[in-house]
Amino acid sequence: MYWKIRHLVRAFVEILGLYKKYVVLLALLVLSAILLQTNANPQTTFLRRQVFIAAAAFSRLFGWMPYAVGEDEVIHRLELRNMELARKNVALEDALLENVRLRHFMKFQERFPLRTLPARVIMRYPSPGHASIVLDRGTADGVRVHHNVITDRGLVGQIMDVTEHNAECQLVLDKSFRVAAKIQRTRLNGIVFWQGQSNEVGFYGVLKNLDVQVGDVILTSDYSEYFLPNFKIGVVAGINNEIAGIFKDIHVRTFVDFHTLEEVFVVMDTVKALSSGRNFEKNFFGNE
Amino acid sequence: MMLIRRQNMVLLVLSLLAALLHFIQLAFVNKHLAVGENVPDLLLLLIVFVGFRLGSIAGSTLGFAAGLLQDLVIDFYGLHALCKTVVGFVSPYFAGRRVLLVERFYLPLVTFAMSILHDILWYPLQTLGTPLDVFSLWARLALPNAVYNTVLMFVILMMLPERATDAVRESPR
Repeated sequence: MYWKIRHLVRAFVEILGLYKKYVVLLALLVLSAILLQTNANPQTTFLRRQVFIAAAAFSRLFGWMPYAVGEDEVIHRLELRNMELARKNVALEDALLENVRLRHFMKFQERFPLRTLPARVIMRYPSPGHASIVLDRGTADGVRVHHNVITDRGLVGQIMDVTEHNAECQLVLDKSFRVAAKIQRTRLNGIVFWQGQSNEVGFYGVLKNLDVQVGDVILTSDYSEYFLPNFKIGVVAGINNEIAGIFKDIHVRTFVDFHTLEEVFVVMDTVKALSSGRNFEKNFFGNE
Repeated sequence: MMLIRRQNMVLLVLSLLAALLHFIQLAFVNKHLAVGENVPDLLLLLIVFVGFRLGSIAGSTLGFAAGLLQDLVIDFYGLHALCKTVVGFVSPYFAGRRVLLVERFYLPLVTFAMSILHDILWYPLQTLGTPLDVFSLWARLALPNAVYNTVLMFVILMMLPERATDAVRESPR
């Protein structure tokens, strides 16, 4: 008996060795699929729904087959019911989370003085050097290039490209993003730009001898060509005076968590053409 | 046993190289080598090269590890890992096929094919359940990226010492 099991194990190992690369591939694909399941984004939810639909169809296809044990009809009915409930459960969980978020957003929209349009993030570009998201609103909804995009927490970015039903929003964390900003407490002006860190930007242009403190809130400035004033951007998280040049190195932690963006508001009001705002960002910081 | 240890060592070194390349990709390539919205994928080049030289197991394992690194950035775990595992697994199948007339361009051409394969998987998964037109994304992003990857692979091969490029042409597989 023992040697039989040994032979069996050895044969199994030999088969594994023979098809090693396929076994490795299968293991890695399964691992990837499990990882994909852990995501909570629209793509995964869509995929889960499709799996449930396919499973239900598959189950129906083999519904005529008798069950080995138990009462066929009852088990069959309960399994279908279970499948349907599981599908509904996924949809309801999703709806609950969405409901919480939307209630939060609705409150914000009610108390916000500007005209805003809620939009859903339907895609984000993977390249961190080209940080942008795609929204489910377009020219058909009145969205135009350079419209500001915000959440209840603060500035998200601006619309850079727009089609009839979709719009691409350049995020604050994009490498070419610049926005004129000011410190709420001291009204010192500068430029906010991305420095390569997740959910962190730099605030450039404050002389070393001026007053900036950790915890100061950064808002969009009145001088911006494209951005309306007084949107929150972030809070000063670190100041470094030990660098070359005349300006402080200021690190700002953004209020918006860009990794979990799902719904945003497009601000439909645009900047009034203030002459002082013309090309402020470009003149202040060059076009690096 | 020694062989397995050596293979593990090679995979460890390759994984560290992948991490370094990922860092270069984030810090330099995405910033300075971007042509419009198109950027080359250094990790894809590494995976194709490794798959080509070391076979399916090394290719797919490295593909999975490197893909996970990229997934950390886009916050969609498993997506790059899946696509790059497949690329790492498939690329060695080209190693045995010799095309004499385009030998010098063979690996870049394989890179092009693998880049397309990667994006054929990546974009539909990324756009699932959204109204985005996957064909236009392929045309606008996938195809130029594949061309960019191909050109970069060719440039890298030109810059490598001849021994290394010979090693590619004289793949033992």
